Order: sequence, then C-alpha cells, then structure tokens
Amino acid sequence: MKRRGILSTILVIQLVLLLILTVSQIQSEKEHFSTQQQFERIAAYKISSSFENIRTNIEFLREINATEESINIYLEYVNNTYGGIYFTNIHLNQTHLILMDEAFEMRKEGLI
Amino acid sequence: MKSQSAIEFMTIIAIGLILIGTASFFGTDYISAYLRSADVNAVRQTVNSLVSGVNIVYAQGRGAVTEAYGSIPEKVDRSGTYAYDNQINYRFGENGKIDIYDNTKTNIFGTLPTRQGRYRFFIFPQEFEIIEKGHDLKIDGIFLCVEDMDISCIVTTIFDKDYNFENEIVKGENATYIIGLLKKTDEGEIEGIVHEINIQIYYPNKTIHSDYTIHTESFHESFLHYANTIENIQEEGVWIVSAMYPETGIVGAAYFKVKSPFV
Repeated sequence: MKRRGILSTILVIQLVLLLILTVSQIQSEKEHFSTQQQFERIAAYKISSSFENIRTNIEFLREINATEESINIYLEYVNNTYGGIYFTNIHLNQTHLILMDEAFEMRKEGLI
Repeated sequence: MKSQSAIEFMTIIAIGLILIGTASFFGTDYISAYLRSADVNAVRQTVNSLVSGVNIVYAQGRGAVTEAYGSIPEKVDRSGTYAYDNQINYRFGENGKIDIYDNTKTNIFGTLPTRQGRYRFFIFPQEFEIIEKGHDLKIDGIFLCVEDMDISCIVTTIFDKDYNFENEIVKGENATYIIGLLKKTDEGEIEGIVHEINIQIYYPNKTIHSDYTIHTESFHESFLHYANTIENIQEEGVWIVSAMYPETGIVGAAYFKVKSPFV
C-alpha cells in the first residue's frame, strides 16, 4: 500500500513536470516563431528597400545620360556594398537585378 | 670586325627598344586603368562621406553641424556635378564620362569643389527667406559647404512658374533659378569685394544652353542672392544650372526635370 502510494506520487509528479515542460516548450516555440517572423519582416523590408534604392539610382543615372561605364561602376559598388552585408547573393547586369537572401530564402528580382 | 660589333650592338639596342616599347604599350593601359580606378574610389569615398554627414545632421536636427573630408580628382565636369534635392553626383574624367552618384535622406543645397585636391566640408541645417518679385521664397534644408574658402557656400535653387520650390517643370513653362552666396565665418560682413560668379546652364544632352558671368558688388548681407528665369523650356530631361566661383572652383548647382504636360 505504502509502495503503491509512493509510485502514484512519483507518477503524479512526473505528469506535472511533463505538463510544465510541454507548456514551456509551447511558449518557447511561440516566442521563436514570433522572433523568426520579425526577422523575416525586417529581411523582407531590407531586400525590397535595397532593391528600390538600387533601381531608382540606376534610373536617375540613366536620366542624366550617364555612360554605360558609370552604370557599371555603380553596379560594381552595389555588388561590393550589399554583397557582403545583407545578401549572400546578388546577380545583376545592366537591365535585370536579382537580390537573394539565402538565409531567409527570399528573392526579389525585376527590371532596372 | 668593327662592323660586326656595331651590328651586334645595334641588335642589342633594337631588342631592348622592342622590350621597352612592348612594356610601355601594355603598361600605359595598366597605369591609366589603375589611375582611373583610384579616382573612382576617391570620389566614391567623398560622396559616401558627404551622404553620411548629411544623414547624421538630418537625424540630429536643428543646431547640428558636422564635418566631412573628401578628395577630388582633376577634370571634374560641371554638366553633371551637383548636390541638390536629395542627390549628390560627381561627373569627371575625359569628356565627363564617369558619374558617381548617391542619395541622401533629405533635401540638400550643396557646394562642391571642382578642382583637384583634398577638401573639408561642413554640413548644417539652415533656412533662408528671400523676397523675389513679390513672392516670399523659403530655402530650407541641409547646407553642404566647403570650408576655408572666400565664399564658402553657393546655393542654387529652382522654382517653377508660380515660384514654388520644385524640381519638376512642365514642358513649355518657365523655371526660375536663384543663386545665393553664403559666407560661413565669424568675420562678419565683407564689403567692397567684387566677386564673379559664372553661371552655366546645361541642356539634358549636356550641351550648354547659356554661359555668363555676374558680379556681386559686396557682402552686405550674409545671404546675397541673384535670380533669373529660363523661359519656355522645351527640351525634356534633366537640366543643370551650375554657378561657379572661378577663383576657387567651387560649384553650387541644381537640377530640374522637364516633363511633358501629358504625362
């Protein structure tokens, strides 16, 4: 009787601990998910604002009749600036720009 | 025996000359590419430090002043060199074929040096009001000036036909440009100095629309200004109005875009 009582107490404690563990696990997952979402939002903003910035700059260079050489110099600068900071991969040529953030599996591309 | 040694000597000299010629032929290209890339990097660094200086002052607000340093190469082309609206562009190289461009977070009225050298710039927010043909015009933004100059700031601004501060002009309408001179020192007023300011206006295709010189008789005011109007503008694209103080080569330029009325 005494042994059974001890066993059932242990079982109840185990159940309570398991419940606490499950709740904390759920909470931590929720926090992780929210942080992840926040990071993704920041990354999405960064990728689209950088893309827009590059696009408008190239558009303006064309408007002031900048030479192809000047646009190439700007693209080289873009590659050096953004290549190592936000984006693990930047593909571009004179008319088409692709920005890729491999960490968040994001990609933005379009005509420039 | 003598002629043989002469031929040998000439052969050695000829081979030497061929080697030197080949090396110079490829070397010249290499050196000019290196110099060009050094100039590009110097101007890029200058533009970057001006942009970050402007952004810092903008973030700090009224009363903030900051300094920036930059190197300018030779052969700066006025047809595309300006710091205006929220853009800074330096055009230089043979026939002005290189443009180094970036944008700031706010309106700037910038003075840029066009002669080779290293310069110190100071950047601060400023506001002026001018009465022109009965209109009360306000010039408000971040000023970018070159320090230790006789005239430290040349501010060029563009207003539309209704005297609104505007950089988009409708085709067929007028644009008024106002050039202001500012001396940022503690010395006070400087009188009796005749300054020449050369004004060049460029069409969108970089050819010159007008080129003339005005004289400012004295510095009775801290912000002396001059205004003129370009009438019935037809050529679509980006126009540049560039005012230069010839003694030091500093330029205050502004641009405006001419657009079709149907767009």
